[in-house]
Amino acid sequence: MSKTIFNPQSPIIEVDIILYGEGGVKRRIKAALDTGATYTMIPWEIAEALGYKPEISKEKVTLITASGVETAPVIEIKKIKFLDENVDNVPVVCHDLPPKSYVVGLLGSSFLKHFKILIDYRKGLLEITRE
Amino acid sequence: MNIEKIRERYKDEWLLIRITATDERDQAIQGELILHSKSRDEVYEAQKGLKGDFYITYSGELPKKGFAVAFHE
Repeated sequence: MSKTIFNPQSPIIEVDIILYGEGGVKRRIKAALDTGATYTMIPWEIAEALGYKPEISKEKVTLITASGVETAPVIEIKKIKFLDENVDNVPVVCHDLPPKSYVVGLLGSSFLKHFKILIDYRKGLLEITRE
Repeated sequence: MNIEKIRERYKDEWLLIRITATDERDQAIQGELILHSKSRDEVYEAQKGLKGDFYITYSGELPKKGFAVAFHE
């Protein structure tokens, strides 16, 4: 089990995650933990820096955003780490969040589904357990 | 420099930090500031082509007061 604290007064639960790419490249990003998101989401530029090629991905998803309907590629990140927990081969959507969201990405169900997750808003405590 | 000190020094900015030390859980604790900017896109651009271990974050309040957040995808 891994646990961390968060600010229950904040409108989002922000977490640090580590994305692993080709040749030992890593990007650590601030993400919003989003249990309602089907996919984990990262910006296109960071996917490319990690050595992935979103432009040739055959898998796409349709996103409904404030600016309309868009199509975004899905890539497979070789490993994502959150707290002490790793998941290999995580499907991730390449898409930029609006700048005013002030997070780089979303940690969504494509990662979170591997765990039991406890979010205690009264204590500001988050626990994830692989079972 | 300690990551938290970098965040405090460059408040309300986007940061690109090269990680120079981690703890036993591989959490970043020390780093070298590569770029600080009000522009997120500038930071995204700067990290392109950089090999190694980098941290990209915003150092301000999340989100600003008066905003609500809804992510759709």
